[in-house]
Amino acid sequence: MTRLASLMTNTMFALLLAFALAQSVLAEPLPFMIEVNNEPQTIGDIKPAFLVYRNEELPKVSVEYVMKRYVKLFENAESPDVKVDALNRINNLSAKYGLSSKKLTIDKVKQSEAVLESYEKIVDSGVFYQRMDELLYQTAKATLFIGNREESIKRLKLLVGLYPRSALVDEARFRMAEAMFEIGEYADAAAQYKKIIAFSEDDAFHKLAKFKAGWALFRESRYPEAAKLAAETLDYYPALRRATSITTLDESEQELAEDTLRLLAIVFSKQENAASIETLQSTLAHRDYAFLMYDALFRFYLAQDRYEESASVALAYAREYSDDFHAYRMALNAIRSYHEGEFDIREWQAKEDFVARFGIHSAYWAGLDTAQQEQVRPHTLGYLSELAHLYYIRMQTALDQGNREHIDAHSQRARDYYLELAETDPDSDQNGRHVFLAAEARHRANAIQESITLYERTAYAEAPHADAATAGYAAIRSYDKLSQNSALWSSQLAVARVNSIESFAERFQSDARTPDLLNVLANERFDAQQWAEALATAQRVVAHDKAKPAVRYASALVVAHSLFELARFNEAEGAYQAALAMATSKDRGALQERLAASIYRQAEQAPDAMAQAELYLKVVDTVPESSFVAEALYAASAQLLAAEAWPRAIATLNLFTTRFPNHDYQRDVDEKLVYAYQNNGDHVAAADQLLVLAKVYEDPDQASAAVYQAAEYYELEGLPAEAMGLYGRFIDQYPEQFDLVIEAYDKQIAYHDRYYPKQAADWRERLVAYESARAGTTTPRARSLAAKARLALAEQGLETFSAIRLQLPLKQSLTRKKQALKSLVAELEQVAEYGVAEYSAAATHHIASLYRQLARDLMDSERPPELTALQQEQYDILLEEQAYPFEEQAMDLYRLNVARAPEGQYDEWVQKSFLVLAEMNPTEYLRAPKLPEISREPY
Amino acid sequence: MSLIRLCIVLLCAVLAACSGGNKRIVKAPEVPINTHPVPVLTAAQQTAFQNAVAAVAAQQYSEAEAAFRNLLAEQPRLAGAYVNLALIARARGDSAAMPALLDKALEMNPQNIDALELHAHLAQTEGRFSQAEQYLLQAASIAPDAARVHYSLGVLYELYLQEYERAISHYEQYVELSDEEDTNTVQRWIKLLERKI
Repeated sequence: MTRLASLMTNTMFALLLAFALAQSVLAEPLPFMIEVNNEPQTIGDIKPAFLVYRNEELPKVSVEYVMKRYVKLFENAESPDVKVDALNRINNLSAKYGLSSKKLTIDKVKQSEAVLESYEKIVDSGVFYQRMDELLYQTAKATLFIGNREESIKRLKLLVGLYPRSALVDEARFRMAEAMFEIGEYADAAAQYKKIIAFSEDDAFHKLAKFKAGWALFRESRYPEAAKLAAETLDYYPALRRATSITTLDESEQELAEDTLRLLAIVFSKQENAASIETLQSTLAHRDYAFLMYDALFRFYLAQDRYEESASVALAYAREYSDDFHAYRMALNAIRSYHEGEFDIREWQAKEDFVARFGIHSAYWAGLDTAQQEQVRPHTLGYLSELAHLYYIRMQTALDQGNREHIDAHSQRARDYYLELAETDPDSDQNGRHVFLAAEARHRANAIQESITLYERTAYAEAPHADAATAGYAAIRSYDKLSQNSALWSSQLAVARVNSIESFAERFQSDARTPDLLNVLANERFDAQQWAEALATAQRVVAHDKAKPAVRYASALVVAHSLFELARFNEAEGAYQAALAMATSKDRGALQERLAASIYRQAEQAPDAMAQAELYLKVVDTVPESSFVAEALYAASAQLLAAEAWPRAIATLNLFTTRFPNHDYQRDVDEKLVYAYQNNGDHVAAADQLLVLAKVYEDPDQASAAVYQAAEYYELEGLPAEAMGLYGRFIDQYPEQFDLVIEAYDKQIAYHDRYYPKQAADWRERLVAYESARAGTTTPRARSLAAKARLALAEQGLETFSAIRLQLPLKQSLTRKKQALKSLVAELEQVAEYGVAEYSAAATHHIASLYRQLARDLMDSERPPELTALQQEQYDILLEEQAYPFEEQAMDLYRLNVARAPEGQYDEWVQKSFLVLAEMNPTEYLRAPKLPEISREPY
Repeated sequence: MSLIRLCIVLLCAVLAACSGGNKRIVKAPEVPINTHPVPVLTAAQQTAFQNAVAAVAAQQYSEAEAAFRNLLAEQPRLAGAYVNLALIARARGDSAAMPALLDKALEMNPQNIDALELHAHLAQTEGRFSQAEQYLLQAASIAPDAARVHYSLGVLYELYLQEYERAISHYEQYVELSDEEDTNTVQRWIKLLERKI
């Protein structure tokens, strides 16, 4: 009210001044003409001095000086006209140049008294009778000014009544209403204001009258009418329609608009606040001032520290006008109110409501254009940040207090706000941090799986940030935690965990945790037999400059083992060497074994025997204490033998024997030594080795074969005596080795034929007897050798037979010879019985020859000396008769032999039989070949 | 008794040969075609060849051998030169050198009868009777009128293959073709063989 009264006073005074000024301007004749010769008669004649030449500078007379002169004129003038004119000039200049010092202006009471006195004199003089309306008005004004409202109202009523067409009627009526208002006659004031609105043709008074009428009705507690009039006052300012602020108005207009809104606020506050706004608007049939009115009411309450009411009004707008872009401002107002009123809980709730109602997931947001979103966004971000932190802290507190019920709820809220925060400002460099905090919130609430997703998002999907590595690591740790619970764990999660580790290692390559994680992964892959993957992973660890020694060592083992499993043994060898360089003494033994195995496997894969042998020997040289050494030496020797590297094979085999004398392979090594010696030409050594073997062989076949072969080697080396000793031993020790015994006999026979022929027959007989005793198991070879031996034995008798001479008495000698023949033929028949063609032919030929020999011997036998020629002739005939059958028998046998020829047997004995037949029966068997002696044709 | 026993034993072994007769199927000889042109000798070369032949006849084997080798250096396709070299080897008792020379002769002229006869003889003395037969049959098909070839076939069939009908046939052709004095002897052989059939 105080402010309104002050306003009214100022307004009235201003109107008065304006009026006085207007009068003075109208009364001034030709203000820019210089009348040098005319002395001023009145104040109105006093003119400012102007130079003729308009381009010249104005005279250097200050405004202050001019005004001082007017003040002096006002104080000293006797004429009321002059006094009023002087006053007008002073006020005019004061307003124009903004000069208001006491020395330069006239005290307002003095002014009023002067005006009143001057106009009283004018009225009394009757000089101004034709301007009585003006005089009444001026006196009413002056009367009011000196405090006599009733008198003023009388004069104004008189003016309105006497001069209803006066130009001053509107102002008079307004002044009358104002005076009525001042003295509390609000109904009358309202009536007067309404008359102005109804009858005044001058718009200047309308809006003020409407405003004042509203006020007056408000005083009368007629709120709906008051509100309606106030709203209609706003109609005079089209710029206020659907405005959110009055600042669009000129400054001079803002005051009334603001006063009107204030009036409205007061009216609403007297009613039902926001509901009354809505009621008014339904009366107005538009909502163009909704924001301004809500805002006014909000501010009204806020100014009075009535925070709940102010917030309530603001929230009502935000709620009722949620489609309005500016609704968010009202929501902000509400929050501000709660804040100032320190209504913490409501403030937080309002903030939550704000982000729900205006955040990026709201229908409101969807309806905004980009520019609008940019206005709302900072507020949303601010609240989201506060809320996210709030719930995070609440969750933490719940955790500290063990309030399980709230942990998850708060955690989820914190997560939601952090995520929305990130979503609301996608380009913020804080988003990584926010998503990390969301992940942390869920993790602490034991929502492990969900936290993993968030950790991974902030680690890898957001722009790089300070917490990224921590988040990436936390994700992996979370997987590990999940894996402890088989009910939660799955193959998909296992795969995801591996991917997470890979992602970490890739993104945070230089992080000190990377080698640790990769080492774990490498070992897991190795355990899963994913050798190639394990290898690649472990190699990254080994190459990592931040890998701790223990970790590096563990991965070095994976590298080596994986290479081994991948059959990349050459690389495995190097890897085991590298691992050994880091190994503890505890592990060294096992690693040495693996190293040896790596080389050993390389040997197995080497392309040729020699390369294999070298690698097997490398096992021995590199890891001499390895369990692989025996195998390696053995395998090396086998390959050296295959490569025919006899001396090295011998050396290797001997080394084996020295180092592993009781090894299972020893016998085989001995055999290989024999083979190596044999091929190296060391037959004696081979033989000695064979005799060693013969002693250890349990299998008689093997033992006998060893002895026999030893004998052969001695023989080969030109040591026949030693060889024969062994053959003899063989015959004695291994009679069941039929084939070899037969051969051994044959060797003995050949040897004795050469060196001790007298003993040869004995060996032949032994051979024949041996073969004969085992006729059931004999072989063609044995039969052949036996037949040969038997033939040889029989042939011994041939010379004896030839030596028996047929001499007188013929009967005895012939009997002896026939006896010998019979015996020989029997022996030779036995040769034939072996069925060996070669020896059968020989035997046949021999028998035939025996018969032929007997026939010849008969013919050549000694003749009895005492016979006469005739007797001798008869004796010869008798002998021929005796000899002839033998000769025929001989020929028949020779024929039998040559009959072998068509079957392809054309051996020595068949040929001999042919020759004998050709001799005995040339007609039948002598066929001289006819061959070209010379080839006479060149071609 | 013992003789009879022996005969039985031995008869078993040779039964097939005795009873075989003409039943054995003899593969028709493959007569090789001479794809090489007959070398044309210059007059000097012809003279040189005749001189070399004369040297053989005079048992001047070294000279003969040298002459044939020289000729071969000029005319490598002289099969007759190779045959004569083989005959020189035979005359020197170096039968082992013959087969290679004869093979060379047949390589130059697969239809060289002398080479085939000598090859057959070598085969026969070594008991390779089928091979001997093939050489001789080839020779006979190349030169059906070569009496000596039929003689050799007769001997082979009579003594070594003991196929008497074939022997008779070839002896008969010999008798017919030959102008030598021994045809009466051969006719006696035919008679003997006819008795054996």
